[in-house]
Amino acid sequence: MSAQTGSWVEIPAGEVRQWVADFLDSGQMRVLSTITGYQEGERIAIVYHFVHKESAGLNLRVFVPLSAPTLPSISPILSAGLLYEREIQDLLGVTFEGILDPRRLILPEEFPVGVYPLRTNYHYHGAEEKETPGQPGGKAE
Amino acid sequence: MSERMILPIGPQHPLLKEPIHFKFTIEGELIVEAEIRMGYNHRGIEKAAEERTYLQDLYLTERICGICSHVHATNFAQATEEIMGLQIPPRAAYLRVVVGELERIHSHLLWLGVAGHEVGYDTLFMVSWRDREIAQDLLEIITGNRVNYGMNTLGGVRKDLDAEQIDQTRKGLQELAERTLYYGNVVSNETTFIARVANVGVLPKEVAYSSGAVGPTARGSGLDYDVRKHLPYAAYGEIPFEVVTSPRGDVLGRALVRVGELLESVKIIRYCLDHLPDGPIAVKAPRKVPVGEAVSRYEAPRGECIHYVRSNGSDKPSRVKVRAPTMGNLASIRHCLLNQQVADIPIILAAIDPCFSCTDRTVMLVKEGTREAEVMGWEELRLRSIARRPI
Repeated sequence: MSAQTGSWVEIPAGEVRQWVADFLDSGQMRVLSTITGYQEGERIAIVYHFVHKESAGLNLRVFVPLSAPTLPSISPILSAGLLYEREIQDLLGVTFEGILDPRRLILPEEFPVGVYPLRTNYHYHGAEEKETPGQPGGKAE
Repeated sequence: MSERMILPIGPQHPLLKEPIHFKFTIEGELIVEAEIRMGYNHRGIEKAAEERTYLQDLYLTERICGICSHVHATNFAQATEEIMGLQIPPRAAYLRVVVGELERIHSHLLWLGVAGHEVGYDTLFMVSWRDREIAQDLLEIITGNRVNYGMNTLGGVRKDLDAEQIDQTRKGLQELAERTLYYGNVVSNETTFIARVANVGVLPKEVAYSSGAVGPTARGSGLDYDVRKHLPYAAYGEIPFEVVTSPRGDVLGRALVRVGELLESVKIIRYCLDHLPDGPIAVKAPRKVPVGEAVSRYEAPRGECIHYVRSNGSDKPSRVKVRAPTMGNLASIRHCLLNQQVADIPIILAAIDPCFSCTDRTVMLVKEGTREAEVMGWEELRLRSIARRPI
C-alpha cells in the first residue's frame, strides 16, 4: 500500500463525529481530501479520506444499511465536510444528521425525489425514440 | 444600515467561462452573504466510469478537464497501477513529471491572464497568453496534442522524448524562465495591479485549514501542503524543488504563489531533462485487475486532486470517485467574499482559479415547452456527436 493511499480505519457509523473531533484535537490532520460513498450489496460505505501530518493518507470507513442510510454529519465540526456530504446525499441518498445545509448540491431541482444515480440499481436505458424529423433515428424530412 | 438586496449572478455570466450560480446578498456595495449553486456541468462521469474498462476510463477521466487533463489521467493511472501492483519504469515517471509541469506552466499563465483581465489590466492578459503558447507548443511537440495529451497508459507513458525534442524543450524553457521573471516583477511591483489585489478576498490560515482549501489558495494563506512534497508520486521524491507559500492570505498572496511556482516548474523540468533515466517507457498491464482499492493524489495546478478507485476483480472498476481541487476550494470562497465590494467579485472568484467542469461531473435538460426533465444518456450524446445535421 502506497503512502498516498495510506492506512484504513473502520468504526461504527454512529461514532464518526466523535472520531473526527478527536482527530482534529490531536492536531494531526493536514486536510480532509474528500468523502467517497459507494454501495456494496445491502449497505453503503462512506469513506473519509484524510491526509495525516505524518505524510500518509488516512481513510476512515463506516457502513450504513441501505434500508436506513443515516449517520451523523461532521459539517458542524469541520466545514470542509459540508460539500462532500451534500454530494453523497444527492447521489447516494444518505442522510447526514445535523448537516448545516441539507439542500441539493449537484442534482437539479427537477430531478425526481428518491432516485439516486450512484446506487447500483440505477441504470440509464436511453431516451424514448423520437419520430421527430431530423432527430437521430427519426424519419427523414 | 442600508437596505439588503439580492444580486443573482449566473449560471451564464461574463465573469467566468463556465456555468455556476451565485446568490449574493448585498448592503450597498458590501457583500453580506454569498451562496453557491453548482451542478450545471455535471456529466455523470463517475457513473460512466463504472460501465467502461480501465483503459477506456483512462481516456474518459482525461476528458474531465481540458486544462488539467494530464492530472486526471495520471491520477487514474496511478490508482489503477497500485491495485495491479505495477511499478512504472523510472523513465516513464520522469516523463509524466515533464508533461505535468508544462501543464502547470500553461495553467498558471492562463490564470495570470484571467486575473489581469478581471482587474482591467488587459495588457497582462494579452502578453501572458502569448507566452503561454510557448508551453502549449512544447506540449504539442512532446505529446502531439495541445490539450488531452493522451500521454499516459496503464503501466507508463505512450511517447518517448528524443534528443531534438529535448533540445526544443530547453530552448522553450529558457524563454519561459525569462518571461516569468518579468511577471514576477509585474505582480510584485506594478502599483495598478497591487492596488486591486492587495488585502482583497482575505482568507485567514485557520479558515483555509478548516474549509479544506488546497493548492495555491491554501499556500497563499500560509499552509504548506503540496502533494509533490508531502506524498510524492511519479519522480517527485527525487527532484529538488521548493514549496512556494505566502503568509499574506489575500489575492496578491495567491498571485505571488503562482508566479513562484512557475519558476519552480521550469527548474523541475530542467532537472528531469538533465537526469532522464534510460530504459523502457512502459510495462505491460494486465487486462483484469485484482480485487482491491487505492487512493491516488496529484498536485494539480489548482491543488490536490484525488481519485479513489475500487476494483471487484473484473475488467471494469466498481467505483471511481473524483474530487477536483476546485471542490476543495469552493468552501473557502464564501469566506473570501464576505464584507468585500461587489466590484471585487470577479477577481476574488478568479483567485481560486475555479474549474467547474472538473468539479461537476448527467446532462439534464428541460424538454422544450414543458417542465419535464430529460436526462441525456451516453448513447444519445454519442449519436449527437456524429449527427451530420443540426438536431
